[in-house]
Amino acid sequence: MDLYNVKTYLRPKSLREVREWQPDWNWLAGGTWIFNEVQPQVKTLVDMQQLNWSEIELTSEGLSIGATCIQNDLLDFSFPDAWTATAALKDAVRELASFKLSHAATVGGNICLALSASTFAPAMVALNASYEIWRPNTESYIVNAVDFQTAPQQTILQPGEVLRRIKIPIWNLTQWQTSFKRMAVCTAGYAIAIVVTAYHPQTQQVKFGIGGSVKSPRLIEFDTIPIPEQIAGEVRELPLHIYIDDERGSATYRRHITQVLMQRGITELTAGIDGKRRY
Amino acid sequence: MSDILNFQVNSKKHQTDCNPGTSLLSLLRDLGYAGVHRVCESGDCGSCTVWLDDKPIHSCIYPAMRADEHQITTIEGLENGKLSPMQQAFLDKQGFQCGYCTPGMIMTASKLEYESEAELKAELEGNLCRCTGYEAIIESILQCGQDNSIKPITAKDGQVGKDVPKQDGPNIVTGKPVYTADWSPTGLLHLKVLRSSHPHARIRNINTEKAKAIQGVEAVFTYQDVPRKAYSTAGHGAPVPDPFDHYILDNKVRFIGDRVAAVVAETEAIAAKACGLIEVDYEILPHVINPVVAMQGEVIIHDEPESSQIHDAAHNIAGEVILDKGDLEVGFKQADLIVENTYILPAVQHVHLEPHVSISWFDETGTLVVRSSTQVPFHCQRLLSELFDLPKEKIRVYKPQLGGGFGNKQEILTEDLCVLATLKTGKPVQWRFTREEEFTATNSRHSMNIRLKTGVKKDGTLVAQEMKAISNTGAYGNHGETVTFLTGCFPLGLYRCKHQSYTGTVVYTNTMPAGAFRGYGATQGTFAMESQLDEIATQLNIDPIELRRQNLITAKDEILIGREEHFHIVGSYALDECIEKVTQALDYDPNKPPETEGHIKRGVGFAATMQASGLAKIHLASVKISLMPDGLYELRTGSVDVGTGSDTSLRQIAAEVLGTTVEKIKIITADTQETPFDAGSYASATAFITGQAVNLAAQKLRSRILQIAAQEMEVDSSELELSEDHVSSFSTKLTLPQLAKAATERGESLEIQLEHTSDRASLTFAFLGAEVEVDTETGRVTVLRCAEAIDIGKAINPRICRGQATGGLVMGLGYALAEELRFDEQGKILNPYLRTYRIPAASDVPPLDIFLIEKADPYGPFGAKGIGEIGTNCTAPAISNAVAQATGVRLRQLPMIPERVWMAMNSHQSSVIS
Repeated sequence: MDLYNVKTYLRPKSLREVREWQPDWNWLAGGTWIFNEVQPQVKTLVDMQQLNWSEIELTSEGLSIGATCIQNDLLDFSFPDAWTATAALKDAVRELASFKLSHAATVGGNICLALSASTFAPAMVALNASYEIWRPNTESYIVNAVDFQTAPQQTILQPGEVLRRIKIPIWNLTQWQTSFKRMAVCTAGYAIAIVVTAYHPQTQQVKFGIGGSVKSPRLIEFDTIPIPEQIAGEVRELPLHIYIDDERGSATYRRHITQVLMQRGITELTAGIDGKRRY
Repeated sequence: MSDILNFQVNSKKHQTDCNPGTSLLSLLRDLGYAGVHRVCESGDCGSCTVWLDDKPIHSCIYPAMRADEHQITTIEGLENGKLSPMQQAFLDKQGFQCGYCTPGMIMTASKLEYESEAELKAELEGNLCRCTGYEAIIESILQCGQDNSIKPITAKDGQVGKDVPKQDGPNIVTGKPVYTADWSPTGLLHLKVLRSSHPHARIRNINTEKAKAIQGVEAVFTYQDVPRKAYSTAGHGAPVPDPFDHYILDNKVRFIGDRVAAVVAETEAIAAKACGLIEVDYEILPHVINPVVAMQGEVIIHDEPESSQIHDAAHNIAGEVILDKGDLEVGFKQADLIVENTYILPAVQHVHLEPHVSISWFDETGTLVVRSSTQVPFHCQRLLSELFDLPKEKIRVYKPQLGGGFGNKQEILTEDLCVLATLKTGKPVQWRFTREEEFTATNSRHSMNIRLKTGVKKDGTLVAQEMKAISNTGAYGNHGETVTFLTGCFPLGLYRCKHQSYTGTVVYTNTMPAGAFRGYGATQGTFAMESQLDEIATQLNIDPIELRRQNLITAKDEILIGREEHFHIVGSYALDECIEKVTQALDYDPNKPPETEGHIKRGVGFAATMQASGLAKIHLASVKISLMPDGLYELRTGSVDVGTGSDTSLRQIAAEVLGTTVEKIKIITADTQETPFDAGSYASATAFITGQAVNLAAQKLRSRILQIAAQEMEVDSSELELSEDHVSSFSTKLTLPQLAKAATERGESLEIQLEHTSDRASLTFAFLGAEVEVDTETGRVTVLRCAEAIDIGKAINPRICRGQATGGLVMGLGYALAEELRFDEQGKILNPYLRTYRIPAASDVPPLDIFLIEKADPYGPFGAKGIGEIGTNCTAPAISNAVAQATGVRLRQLPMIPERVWMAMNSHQSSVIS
């Protein structure tokens, strides 16, 4: 929709051009979120396209994804066969919304927006990703994906700070088999629970990236394949107040669904079943 | 840096600037690409899909500033001397109804890659259609590129009963500027209203100075600027049955979203900004959103003395319906089993894709013209005339192509303020609702609590039924009593039970008003009735089909609840055949136990319903049909094609009678200046009532033609035959232009105008079966298959009728499983976007078997009965019955969202264990 209050449109080529960050400025990555709601507080859009931060880089250390990488470019990218866990990233694109949105939406935009229903957050958490944050006037720093979001639509980013790239170490990409599962009230729309399961067939390690149901994404790890009681136990140990409780779903139900999706994820991975992503 | 954008749209280069917050959608529409449709503005529905450098995107959420140096393709750019293959496929397979989603569908479908039908449906997640139920869309896409060219249907073939293509198809698939907002006079001003953020408050003071001071603001209106006349927004004929409780602008607000003040400005952006600067001093009043609490009368929502026709304002009761038959006490005494339960139905929204929009201006003769997306142009004209003290002849209301309505445009919601603004400024004014306004400030289906008590004998004979509905009409009473009447009348009337009583109480609350919505109250009552019958069947261990067969009204019965002699009558009757078809299609076996497979349980359920064809005695349709000098016919009717295809059906009726084809029947519709009166499009009336008017008028014209020809040709008219081009006898013929000329010379008119009302409203019956799968771990209900048979009398155009059936069924699917307006304690709607209020997408639609059972009705044209609404009623109860069969758990509240189903199963299990 039209953003009536926007008066200025900046297209910086480098971060140096936006040193004096103002409270009524807003980054514009793909725009698919910011243009979907009225934004009365936004007067200036800072278009990130010309920063050229959209790279997908493969190095001996792992994968690096530029913040403004278009989601569809990630979906179309041919990763080395051994990097099995990149399937979780592709599933995150597929489960965003319409494929037409992923023609414009960016990976970094989805992460920084920090909606509880973010499809990338649980995937990044399950893959032990870290985020490189740039600041206008000082050194950049690194934060773990699991520590990035503090609450729905709140992150550690300070005004003017910006996500530059996402890094996933190579040992989290190779060998790991992944499954992406989500549940929404309807078959489409905001997820009320997302579980990305990563399973290492050799070591039997299991990691669950939990999103959608919780106020900020969580990582639950097991050294061996958990039996249902272990999953239930871990889920029960998390206090109910970390789950979202709103008109889309109660905390109790979200917790229950989280457990169901964890169980289905690991059951299918260990049995080699290519199950459904949506329930 | 220059903010001039250089880009190309289709084959045309553009250089322009725009406000930096503009969406690509607005930029394209401002440049005249009207085929890019504005619907959700949040990237959810796909109606605005265009290609950016060949990739489909949602232009509503794409920054216009990024169009710079790009190639954009819109629907207008697809044709290359001829239709693109996808456009042709949509035209051939008629993958549309109202057409508002169609350009976006075609732009998306043209770029889709898929391996299977299931994958295709999944890929269409970002394209929503509210009319078709997707069936025809999927078929169009799957058949794209194949030769589907249709053999033209000739006059010899006959026109009625044939799949004559919807005549607006070529405009729809090419994205022609045919809808209300696609054209406006020059010098257009835009109207926006400030809406209340309080559920109940009196306006102590309102200061518009700051708003007026903004450059570009033309005028600001408050309650002080309008005549204080109470009226109803409901589009009903006079005498209006609804409470007169609404004011153009009022000194009191009654729900969050109610009108406070209106701003007219050069652009929507300026108007919106000015609205934000209006200072309102509210006296906050206590509010009430629960109808049961509202009836206690501690908060009075309509305490103003000017309002009238309110049943009991002191207790917030807008209206009351009482229907009785027999003696309940006697009936319940005969019962071996009494079942009593409460059914809870949510408020849901129509989600017609084209929003409410109207444009008003003075034409060169000084007539006030209102171009509006309305189902009721004539009622609108009458109301405007009353509100502004203008003679009706000085007001012209007309509707262009409509992008859906489903009852929500049987309301006068935008026209009044537009007209006020045009009268005050003398300038053209447009008011277009945003999607958020559609969800928060129009109307919903009435939410209801229905208490139903049934007494039955051991053998399954129904002996007594008592239904009590509390119907939440929201802040205003438009359609309240008439909707609530049908809640009891049809579901109870469907069963032969001697002792029945119904009380419907229509209650004001401080929430968005409820109004007319496909099914018109019968939908809610059908859920209660059809659910309870299955509960009874289970308790008596009788097959639910048998229980219904035993008690359903028959062809010989009369519907006498609340009436000595009822105008709802059984004309033709094929409900028995409907049941037969549906149970056969689903291979129903009452002795087959439900299947269980791990955490999945499967079951099957059924429901029956009936709905009348139009409103007897009061739904007036006038038509005028003429043979023109060129030998073509002209049909003028005030009726409104909401997008269903009724204009095509009416032309088929005329063509059939006159021995010609639809192409030779030109049609002019829904214009108070150019067409004779018609009540409008509601109550499943168009085919049955306007169709009959057309039938009768065409017959008269045919007789007149033959009579004149007989005189001219000096033969007996019985020897004459009327064909497409001429009237012929055994030996001679007279072409139609010759005949027209002869008539003029003889001073004979070849113009027939007549009025028609029906003394009776024939009932359409339907029966639906659904197979479902319940995931017992999550509570998700998935419908695997549906079969529905509709006792339609005669399908004037089977493909159009099928479209009504599938569209209605799928709308019912949303009602059953997904849709619900959610309110907070203030009555504020929490999900006013298509992302959070989900309507069914293509992937939600199971395979559908639709049967149109034809047994000619004695009162409808060619035996036709109404079909617009009935398809919606059965889906939810059939699914609920199937869930109950599968799991043993009964859901008495809609929608059956996973959490509710899971909770119900858990409380059920625990109660079984304890």
